[in-house]
Amino acid sequence: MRALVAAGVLLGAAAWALHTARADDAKPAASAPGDLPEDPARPLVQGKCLLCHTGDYITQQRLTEGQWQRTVDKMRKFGTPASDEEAKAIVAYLARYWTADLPPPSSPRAALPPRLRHAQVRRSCLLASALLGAVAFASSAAPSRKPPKRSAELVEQGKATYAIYCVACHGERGAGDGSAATRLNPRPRNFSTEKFRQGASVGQIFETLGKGVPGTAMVKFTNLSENERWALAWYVLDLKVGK
Amino acid sequence: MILDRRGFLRKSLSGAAAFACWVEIPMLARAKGKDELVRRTERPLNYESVRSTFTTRITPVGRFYLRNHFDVPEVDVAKWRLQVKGLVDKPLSLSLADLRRMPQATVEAVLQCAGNGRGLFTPHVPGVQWRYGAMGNAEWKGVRLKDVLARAAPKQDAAFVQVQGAERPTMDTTPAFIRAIPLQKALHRDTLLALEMNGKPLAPNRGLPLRLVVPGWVGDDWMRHLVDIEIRADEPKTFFYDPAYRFPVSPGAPGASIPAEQMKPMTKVNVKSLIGSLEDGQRVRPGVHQIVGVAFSGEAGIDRVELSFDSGKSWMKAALEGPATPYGFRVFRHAWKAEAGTHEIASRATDTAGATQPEVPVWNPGGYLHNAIERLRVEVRS
Repeated sequence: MRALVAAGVLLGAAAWALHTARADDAKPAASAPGDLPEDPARPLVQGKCLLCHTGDYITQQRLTEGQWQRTVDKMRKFGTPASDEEAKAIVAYLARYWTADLPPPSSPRAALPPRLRHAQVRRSCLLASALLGAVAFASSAAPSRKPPKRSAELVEQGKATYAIYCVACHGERGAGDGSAATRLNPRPRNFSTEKFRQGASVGQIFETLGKGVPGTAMVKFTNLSENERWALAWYVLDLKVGK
Repeated sequence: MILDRRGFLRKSLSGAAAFACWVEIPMLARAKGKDELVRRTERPLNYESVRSTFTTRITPVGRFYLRNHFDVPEVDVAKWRLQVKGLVDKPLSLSLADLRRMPQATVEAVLQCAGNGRGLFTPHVPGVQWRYGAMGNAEWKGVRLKDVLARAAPKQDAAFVQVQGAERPTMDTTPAFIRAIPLQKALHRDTLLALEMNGKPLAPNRGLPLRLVVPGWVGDDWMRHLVDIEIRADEPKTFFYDPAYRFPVSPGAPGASIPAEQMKPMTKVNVKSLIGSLEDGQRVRPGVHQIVGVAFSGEAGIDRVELSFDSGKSWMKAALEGPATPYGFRVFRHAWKAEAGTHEIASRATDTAGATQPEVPVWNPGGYLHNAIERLRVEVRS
């Protein structure tokens, strides 16, 4: 058994280096498709549109202003919580950047997010993982990841991510009163007054961000990197205590 | 990154597990390349296949396109039930085990998103900008829908079979994804409730545990994560059936709007071919190159695939591989003697019913059923 653990540690160190390098490569560049250009209207679009879909739904379109108008009308029927005035600003923003005559977008080749890869691949790992996993489990029952320490920088990063993905449901101060909140069942959590049912430690919030809450609009945010999710978890904790 | 001893040990061990797979099971290393797709949208998941996928008859699951309206649902297979209700004498609630106990059938069929090629239309139309890869051919295994319907005993006025999966929109104001097919197609012996794709149970993002397979018809009807079958006398009025997923009865000029009553639900996939062994703009050396691709057509088999190497001036027949298939991919192949210069290479399929690919796509407001002859520019240089 000791030999197995030693071999595992050795092999693991090598694999870890490989794995880490690969994870960094997979991280999209700042100008990745789906990134919305800096603009006074950007937060509005992020808050109203990215509730249900990522920005790449927008950035791959090449449309006239009339087509954008009809698209936003359709999205409002679907439930985008935008007022007439906000819808006007959204259409103007979309029609300004993604015009009909813009060259076609690039075709980003990408591996599927790990959780969504073919089950066959996962199964091939099962035996080896189970074997070594059992040893790992014996070594500790604590959560599998160690949280990065809270820092002002991290919280600031979390705040920025929150403004994109969370604000429409959870509201600006985390009171569960975002513009979409009334349309959701169950209603989004008020961070400062309600219990965190999935746990209120930074590690548990991180886990919830990665797993989502089945049966609710709280989807898994595995589109965010682990680092982004840690930053977000720290910011959510700040909202909890009313910072 | 600084890790404490325990953290390092854990990290090492999980890494070791990954490494063990990596060295011991070469399949994983291969699968890494195989799982490569082109990302269209991250949420919901919309990924298309890369062109080189289209050189084999069966499309491996990991290289098969993904099309979703909403987030992939969490399905608890143990608790999962299929409800069959509506205009039936005996409503059913079936477990997975119930379905597995019924006679199983296998059908090879192409699944293609109706919007495959939408990104190639001019003027542009809104929607996922698929190019070539929102299609694939698989072996589907499961229960014949007609066997399930027979147990439920549809009433006299039954005319449509409505289907819904477990996926739900983020907001309850967004219409649910509901589709329907005519009873006649539902009763066809090849229409399946599939439990398996290419010999494996459906993966979580492939429709676990059950999906509708409507051979020859566009993908919008192939409902994933199926939970609800409702037999109806009329067609649904919900958004994703009406007005969405419709094609004009008589298409107008590109960009023209079409009155709603002139739009009808799509049914059959139209005849199409794609060269998979060459990319547009590729540079190759002079010599013999194997041109390999796939051709298919709704409910008819492929009669011939012709290739042109001179911008469509002359055409020659490619060899068709394997047995004929009514719904699947037919692989075509041709040894091309490439001479120096720039060549425009095109493929053109004709089905057994005589339908052939058009020179220009039939523009329509939804950007559906693009099947125009494709032209690849290839530079031959030593």
